[in-house]
Amino acid sequence: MQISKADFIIEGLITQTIDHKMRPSLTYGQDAWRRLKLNKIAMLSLFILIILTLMCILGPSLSGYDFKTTNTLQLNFPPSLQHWFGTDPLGRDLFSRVWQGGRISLLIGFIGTFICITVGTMYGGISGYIGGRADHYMMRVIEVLVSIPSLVMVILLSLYLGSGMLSLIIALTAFGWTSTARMIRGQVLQIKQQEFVLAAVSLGASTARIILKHLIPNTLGIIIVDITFTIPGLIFAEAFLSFMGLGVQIPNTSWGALAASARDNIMFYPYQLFFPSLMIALTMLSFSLLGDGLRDALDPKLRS
Amino acid sequence: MSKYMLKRLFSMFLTLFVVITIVFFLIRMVPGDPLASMARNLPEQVKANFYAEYGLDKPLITQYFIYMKHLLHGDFGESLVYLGQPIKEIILRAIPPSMVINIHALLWGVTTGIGLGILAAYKRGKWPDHLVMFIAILGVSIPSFVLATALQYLFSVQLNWLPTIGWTSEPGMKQFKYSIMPTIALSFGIIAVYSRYMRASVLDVLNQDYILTAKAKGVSGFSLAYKHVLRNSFIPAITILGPQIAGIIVGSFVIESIFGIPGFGQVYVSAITNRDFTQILGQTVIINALYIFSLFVVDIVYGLVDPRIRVFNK
Repeated sequence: MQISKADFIIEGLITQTIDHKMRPSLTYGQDAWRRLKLNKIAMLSLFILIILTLMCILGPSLSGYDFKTTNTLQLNFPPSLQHWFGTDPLGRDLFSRVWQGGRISLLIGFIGTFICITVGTMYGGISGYIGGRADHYMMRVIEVLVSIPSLVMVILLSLYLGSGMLSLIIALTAFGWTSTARMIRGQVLQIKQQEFVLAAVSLGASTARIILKHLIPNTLGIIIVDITFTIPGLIFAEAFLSFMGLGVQIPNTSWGALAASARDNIMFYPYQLFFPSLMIALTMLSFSLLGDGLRDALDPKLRS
Repeated sequence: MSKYMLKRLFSMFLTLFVVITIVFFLIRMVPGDPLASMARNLPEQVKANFYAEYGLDKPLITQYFIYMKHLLHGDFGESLVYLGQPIKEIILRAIPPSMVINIHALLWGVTTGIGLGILAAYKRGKWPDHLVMFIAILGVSIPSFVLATALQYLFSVQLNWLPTIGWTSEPGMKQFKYSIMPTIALSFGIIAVYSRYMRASVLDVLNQDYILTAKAKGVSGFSLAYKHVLRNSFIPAITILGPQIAGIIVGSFVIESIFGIPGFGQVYVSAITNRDFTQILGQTVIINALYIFSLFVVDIVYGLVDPRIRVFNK
């Protein structure tokens, strides 16, 4: 005799109503995205950042002028239909230069942040999880690094390494990771007390596996927020170095370098300073607003 | 308490020692030295004597010990660019202009920032709050050299109200005029930081149970705001004040260069451009000592103002 599943009925169970009351289950990311979407300011910032990034990718080829071709017949032209942002003292098209500079600025921001966050997360994770004497000495090292004013150290390092993109990134990241490391360490100190870590330990997971697979994924929220503050910080620092003549070298350029060189002509051609400064300010503004929004979205407990 | 202080003091000096060592070797690894251009046309023997005079002929490690020995006696050495000029004198000359500008900026920035922060916290979610927060974010979004240049363009080029750059060491109306723009440029960032900090701090205190208690027992208005809310909200602000007080003497590299103020920061920047080892080193040591010392003081003051933090019993 064949008995199918349909022959069995659980008495007193009304399946339909239970199904209807259930909400769709959301992953951490979906949940955070849902909350972020409600934040208009954060979404606007995200939109501006996407536009800025797209313009940095496409911009230099949009105007039809090469960013390093000089033109002695068109020196210091004000913004016009022909040159949307005007031209600089060597007759180079500023629209192309602003977006070409943006490429460098953003690239330094992104690569530098990637290094800072990776090193900082690893360092903080190891220090926090192992604890004890290792933690003590690792924190001492950070204390020493932090007590050197960062700009001073960056200047010295870039003097030593010479100028160029790579040395710039090394100089900026050599001391940039300490705040991340401290933050991750604090977070790990809290998380490592929880039961799932004990469970992993008793199942025989190695220290490296616990740090990489159990602890760090749980700090993802603050890592993401930290990223949104590190990127503009690095772009800012690069701008200062460029101002002091320690930034990227000609013919390449960055927003900081453009703003710095425009200072010489501020009396007569203020627009040359306006555009690169506007881009720096927009990037900074958008990243910090997005960071605030992300913090609320990723961890509603922290909402101020 | 004294045991904690001693331990703290010891680690402070240890940190300073490590920092000086790192900076010493880092500076000496920078290619190019300031004597090279001067000694280029000298005969070999004179050149060797020249280098020996400044102790640059010995191995680096010997130079390090000599430098440390002199430093312990309070001797920073001589400038390698302005020969015969002791670093100590150069630094002492550069400190007063930096102090004038930075004290102005700090007073103006901290009071305005704290005021705006309190205003924003009390008007939370209304337009004053949004306005203050907008200023705060703007303050950290615009590089100070852009702001300084914009100020020069507006007040000097367009309006012709203030001198573009320059400085006079005599206190008075002229000095005040020179100091207005650098003060504004420097205080903008301070206002931004403090208003954000104070807003968060006041909001935090307003949510505490003791405020509810105070309200319940009938304290209100000015008394509640001053005695209960503000006094407690000032505590976190002390943390960021420490390094900034060290900054009064150190000055600002960028602002001083732009406004042509012969202060600590400008001297430092020119020392870097000239590769003047001893001067870079001397000034870096001072910056670090001040910074580390200010952190130490903040720690102590923190424990004194807030009995909840018992650092002394650790």
